Amino acid sequence: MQFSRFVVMRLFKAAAILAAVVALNFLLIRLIPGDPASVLAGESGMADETFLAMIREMYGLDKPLLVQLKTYLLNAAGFNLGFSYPLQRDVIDIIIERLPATLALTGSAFLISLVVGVGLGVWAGSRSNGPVDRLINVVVLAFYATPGFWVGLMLILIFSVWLRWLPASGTGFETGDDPGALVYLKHLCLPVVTLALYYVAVYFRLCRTSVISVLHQDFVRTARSKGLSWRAIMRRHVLPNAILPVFTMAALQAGSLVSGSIAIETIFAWPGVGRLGYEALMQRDYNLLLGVFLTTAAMVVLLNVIADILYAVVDPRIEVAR
Amino acid sequence: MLNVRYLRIGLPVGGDRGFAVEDISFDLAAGKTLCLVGESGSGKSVTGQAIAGLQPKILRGLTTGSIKLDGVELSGLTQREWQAIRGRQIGVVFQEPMTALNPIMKVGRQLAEIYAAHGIRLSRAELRDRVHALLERVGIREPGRIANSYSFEISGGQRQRVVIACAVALSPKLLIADEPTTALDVTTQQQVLELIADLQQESGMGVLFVTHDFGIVADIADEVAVMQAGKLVECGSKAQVLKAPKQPYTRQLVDAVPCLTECRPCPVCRPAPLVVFKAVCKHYSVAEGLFRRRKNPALTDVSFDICKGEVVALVGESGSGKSTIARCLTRLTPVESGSIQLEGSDLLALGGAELKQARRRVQIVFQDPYGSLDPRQKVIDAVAAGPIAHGVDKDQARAEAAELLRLVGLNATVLDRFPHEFSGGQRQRIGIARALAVKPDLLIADEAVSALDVTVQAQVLRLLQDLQEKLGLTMLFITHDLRIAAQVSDRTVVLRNGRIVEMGATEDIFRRPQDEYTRKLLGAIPGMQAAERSYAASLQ
Repeated sequence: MQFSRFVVMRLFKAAAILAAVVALNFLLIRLIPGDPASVLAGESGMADETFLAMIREMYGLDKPLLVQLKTYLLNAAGFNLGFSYPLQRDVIDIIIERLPATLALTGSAFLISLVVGVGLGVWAGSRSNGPVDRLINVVVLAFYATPGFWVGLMLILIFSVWLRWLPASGTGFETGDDPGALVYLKHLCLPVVTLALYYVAVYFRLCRTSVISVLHQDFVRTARSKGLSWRAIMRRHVLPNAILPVFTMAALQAGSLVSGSIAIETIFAWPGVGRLGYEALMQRDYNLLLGVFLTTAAMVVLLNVIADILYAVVDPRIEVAR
Repeated sequence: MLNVRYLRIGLPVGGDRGFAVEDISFDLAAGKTLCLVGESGSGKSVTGQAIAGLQPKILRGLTTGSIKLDGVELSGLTQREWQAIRGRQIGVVFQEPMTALNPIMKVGRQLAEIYAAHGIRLSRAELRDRVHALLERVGIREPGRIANSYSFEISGGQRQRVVIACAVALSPKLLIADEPTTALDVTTQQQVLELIADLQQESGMGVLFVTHDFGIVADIADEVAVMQAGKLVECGSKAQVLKAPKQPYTRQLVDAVPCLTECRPCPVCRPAPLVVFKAVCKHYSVAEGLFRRRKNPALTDVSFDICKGEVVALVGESGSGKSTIARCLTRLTPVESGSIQLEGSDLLALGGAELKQARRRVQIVFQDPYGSLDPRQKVIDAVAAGPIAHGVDKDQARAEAAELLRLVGLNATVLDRFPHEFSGGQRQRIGIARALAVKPDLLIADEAVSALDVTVQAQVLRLLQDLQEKLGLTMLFITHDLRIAAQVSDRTVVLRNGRIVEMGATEDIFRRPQDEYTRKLLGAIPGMQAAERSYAASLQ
């Protein structure tokens, strides 16, 4: 099979998965006790039966569930995710507005944790059970085991309250005028570090184990028997093989970039998608909630497609050709 | 050229003995082959590794004694100094060619990096030419294609040729070959052995050949060193060690090698068939694209029968369909066309309770005695599980299981142990007891002794023969080792690419093979020529 065909097939599959996820979300939301019509009616302050019936008819809520689902799917395919009544705006606009903040936060945390985790993992794995390896293990696991919100609060206490080096919350844009990139980066620091500290442990543990197991493989012994230097063995034989499972993990995690982190965004008053979803849930803003779900799912699926394709490039054993 | 003196490799505290290798000394001259022979755990592999400085890290500090290559002392070198020796002066070939190559690096690059590692600066084109020439030298016909392939894309024989190419790229003085043919088919094994001999003749390198197979020793060795439990028990010329071993242990090892010259006489009368294969076809489908699948034939038009009380050997190279027949017979895999009859009833049409009953009647002993036992199940339970599943009372099943374990040579004290507490040979005995527990009519032994050391192999074969006679078992014996087939079977079926090329009384097949392929298989058996000569001598 041609590579391009593999990519097309993979995208086709992804679209099918996405449609299934959206349908499932749509149906699950309807399981939440309460009637969307009464929520809408509550917004406008009237709740008598005739008004409810009118709302139902107006928004197609009186139609069978599957018909409603079909309408939603067709609209979503055209990037129309509906209207948020509590916020009086189109859902798609709200999400587009919130997405950059989340991506900045989770994207930097992702990159930092990947680089630091893999670096430490390779370093510790090639010196496994030495004192340095043990020290890194303990420190990294401590951060993994500590809840993110607590780490966040402690960082705020140390760096914002005591040392007064970094701002404790927000993005610096709240006042409306542009404060400049430096201020934004300063605001980004603490939430990114908090989030990254957790994921560093994941990549570190994975990469360390992977390096240790690759080091025991026969081909490493072959490489030694050829007279290769330790450095060359690590770079050419160990790393490319050890990185493969990390790659899989990173692909899975990259999907969660968009959903953001509710806890971290809340503590640092970061205006991201995670917090948006939480707010939508609290206000029973069904359209917005569905929109957040859809965006998250779409990114997870898309990033996994990209990861699959990259994986096929990185690991020749993945059967694209057959 | 190579002088090893008082080499001693300690084992970490808590090992089953104090030393992996204890004070061994031997010499190897340029252009000669020294075979280091012994059973698993005898310390032969770690000796070979230590000579190339490749022993596991924890053993490095525990290694003492002197290893001299052309007068240069190698013991005590730093890793950096070793880098200059390895690849350039000492080449190493390993047992498992699949895992000895990096799976995600093209073969050509794995060869090319040797030159860079030893400071040989070459242009891209020069490097490519060198790699291609090297591949041609180890007998690879399409060097361009192979150099551009990954290790999983080429055959086992080609892989081992590539590993050998890595080892001889810079024409080392010494080649250490650690069981380089154990994982290969008998015909491929012969080719690889010939290749090593050719390369040796060209370059005059010394070869230290680690093996457990006296057949190979008979074919290639100049000198033989026999190891047992870390000690060198006998050392001498090939003729001396094979013909007139001084040590009883060496004699035991030599005798344990299955010998082609003793075929079982074929019974004259043929009772009713227990199993009849009629024109059985089977293919495996391989994914080709998302929806299409390609069909790979595994068995084509296979017809043969197995009579009651008979032992039939199924021989052939890997991929010839031997194990597929076992899987069809146990209904572990579906069959496309043809029929398999078990004592008159159509095995393929059975379902439900009847199939369960038929499964009881056909039992299998697998190749890997460790992998085929549940690591968390006590052996008594493993053996009793079958009968219990077939409705035997629990206490009775356990009593019978204990009796069976005694029958296969394990005493009552072992009943509550777990599989990892046994040796390979004992585990295979458990596997046999497990198979026999449900009182089968047909016992299939699928490479049941391939993973075992030669003396243990002889014991297990003897056990199977005893049981066969005692219980009147019918057996289908699947093996790639023709010497074993000759020893245990009444009739032999030779398979190639899923087709039967020849079948008949074992003695006929081995003495008067009709098919070219059978002759090729027989010719490739290591030690065959030596055995033929001694057979001819015994006739005179």
